Amino acid sequence: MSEKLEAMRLELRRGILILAVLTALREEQYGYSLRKALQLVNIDIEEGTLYPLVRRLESYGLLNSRWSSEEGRKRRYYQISQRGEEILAVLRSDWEQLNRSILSIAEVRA
Amino acid sequence: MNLFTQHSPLEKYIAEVRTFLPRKSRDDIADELKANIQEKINELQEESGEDMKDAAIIKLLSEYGHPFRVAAQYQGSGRSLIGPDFYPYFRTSIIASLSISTAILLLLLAVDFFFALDIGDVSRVWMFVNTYIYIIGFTTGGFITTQWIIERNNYLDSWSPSSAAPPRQAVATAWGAIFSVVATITWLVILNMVNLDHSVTVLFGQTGNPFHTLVLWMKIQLLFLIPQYFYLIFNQVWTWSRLSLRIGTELILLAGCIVTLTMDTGGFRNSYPDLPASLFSTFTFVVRAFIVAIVISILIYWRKATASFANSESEESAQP
Repeated sequence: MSEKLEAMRLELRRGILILAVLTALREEQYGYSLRKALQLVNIDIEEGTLYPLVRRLESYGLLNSRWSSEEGRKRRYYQISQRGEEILAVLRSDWEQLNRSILSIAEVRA
Repeated sequence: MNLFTQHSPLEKYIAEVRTFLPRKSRDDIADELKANIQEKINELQEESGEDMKDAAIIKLLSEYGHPFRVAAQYQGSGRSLIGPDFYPYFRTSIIASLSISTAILLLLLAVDFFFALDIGDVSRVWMFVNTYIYIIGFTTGGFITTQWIIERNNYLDSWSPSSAAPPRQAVATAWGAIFSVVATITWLVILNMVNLDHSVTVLFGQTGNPFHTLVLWMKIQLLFLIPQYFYLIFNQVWTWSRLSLRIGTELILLAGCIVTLTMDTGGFRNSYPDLPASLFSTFTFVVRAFIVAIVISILIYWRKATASFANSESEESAQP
């Protein structure tokens, strides 16, 4: 059961991952700092999942990116684009609606 | 220690990941991945206050996983050869065809071994390999083509419940179609074991060998039949064109049976005097039984299809 539970938890988290990443990238971040920022709010995403996801969102036009060299360190910074903001607004609204729906189901059950 | 000398564990790891990445974005992804891992190494070094040893870096890299897996994450979900909708049918078809043909080949091998009957190439192990290649090739090709046709024509999106055939008037069920696909492909593969000259002379019975002539007609019929069965998996509704094609395909074998029954086999019999007369009489009986079965199946198709047409017409007229 624990394996199945883990798979269900993973599926649940996967659904909100894009929402979390887009929200976090309202502030410019590079890959590793984005992961740390998400970890700070208890969203722990494996690097193997996060970095490809960020690139995918960029390829959809939801993020802008730029390479930067600071103190001899090469970093690729990402930030949400205008299109990304529009999508984020829709996703957030859906998320809030889902939350309300789940809560109301729980209330009816109680 | 310089982390980025050519032989550092990180450089080797990134180089390995690079080989699996798509050519277009290879450098970009590799640079970014290297930068991100470097950030992590830097942070760990700052925390501990000392340079990381190679062994510690290797341990860290092992947490990222095999380079192939890391690179695969960047490839996206992509497109699979057989999509998830079709995969269960594809898997069943392959397993069933391989199992049936293996059983038949083993049976032939047993006949060859115990009765010392020369059945030619069939007794060779290579025949197994050939058979499996044929089956996997035919089945995979059929499913890929079917999937491509469905996607290209947006068939599943344009489907309407009103176009569904009533259960008794459907051509077949989806699993019935799968069974037919398996049966026809396996049969074609078995027929292919017959060492046959694919020529017009054989087709029209001029060689005098009735077995070869019937097998060749069967092969032609199967080539028309297999695509129809693949189409049947996702569409079980009768149409006039489907009925015509189905009857036309049956007529191919009917023609083959008639050619076989009317051909002159005298020369062939004289060439093989050891062949028992009962073999020919049994063969003739089987071919006649084929003709009866073909005529009955044509009548059944006709009845089912016309009932389905009448049903859809009455439904249409009932609609306001």
